[in-house]
Amino acid sequence: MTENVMLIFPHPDDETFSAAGTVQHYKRTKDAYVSAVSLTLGEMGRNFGMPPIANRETLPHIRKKELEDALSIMGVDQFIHLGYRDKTLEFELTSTVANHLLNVIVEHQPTTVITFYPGHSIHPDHDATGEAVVEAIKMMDHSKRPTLLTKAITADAEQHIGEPDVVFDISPYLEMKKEAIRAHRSQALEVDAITKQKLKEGATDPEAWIRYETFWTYKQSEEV
Amino acid sequence: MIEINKEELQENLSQYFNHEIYVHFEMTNGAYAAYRHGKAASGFVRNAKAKLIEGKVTGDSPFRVGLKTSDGWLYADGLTHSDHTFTEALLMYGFDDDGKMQIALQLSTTPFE
Ligand SMILES: [Zn+2]
Repeated sequence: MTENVMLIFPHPDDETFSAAGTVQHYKRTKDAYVSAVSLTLGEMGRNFGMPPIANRETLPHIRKKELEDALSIMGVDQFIHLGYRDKTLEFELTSTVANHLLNVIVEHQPTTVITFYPGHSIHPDHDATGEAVVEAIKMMDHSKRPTLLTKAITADAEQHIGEPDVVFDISPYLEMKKEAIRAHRSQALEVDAITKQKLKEGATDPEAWIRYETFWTYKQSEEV
Repeated sequence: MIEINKEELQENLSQYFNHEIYVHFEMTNGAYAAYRHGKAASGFVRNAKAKLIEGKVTGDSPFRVGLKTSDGWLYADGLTHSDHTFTEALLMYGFDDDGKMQIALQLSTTPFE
């Protein structure tokens, strides 16, 4: 069976930072089919561009276009937008979102799903997304469950959940990843500024934060 | 997006006086604030309905806007910019020194999407 990878993230740009190189890895080494699910369009983002190229009302349209551009740079085959609103995900019933995601997963039959690690992903929408994905997969028959790779981003995550067991050094795809990050133009994500800051702080590899894409294979706590 | 011109904004606001309007009001210091430096504080109201009576623009960049409604008040401080290219609604924003939006006040005669 060919590898079928599905990224499930709440905001445009989460997928790029978390998994741009991972997507390339799966495509090149496993000839994978890759889809990207975005639950929202980042409607409530505070960045309108520098100088502003958006306003609160035009932002979702602009971010959708940016996301499509970034996904094509990453080599993602299919984009699925679920139509939730930024910042409100944690207030939806988890079962509602989980059932919605279950339908998407059953329809596309991914062999690997990549999302956030619930409880260790800083932004409430990130945690809510991870939680709903875990719930969705829990509803599936054991034999049909995809491998679940989750991304934790809190600084102290390793103290709680140990070291990530899946680590991709995406050096060969680093320039592609930076280009995909730049495609999120309204977000004015200053990768070079962050890298310079890390260099100033004495980091030996100031690009490590985008060079290594790390994941924890999620183990369902209760085998139901 | 242009820096607010006080007289122009006063004129634009007055177009909404004595109308039923929809309000999008928002303040935020960022969802990552809790993680980076202390506490996040933010909130928004989307499509609150109000009848505007009158109001004023005061201050000198950042500006304050205070609007009297049939049932109360609308108040915003820290407004620096408005988007004159967007004709369907009156959009007013305040940005912090890093260019991040920290306050939004939007008025429209039709509901926001
Ligand atoms: Zn995000």
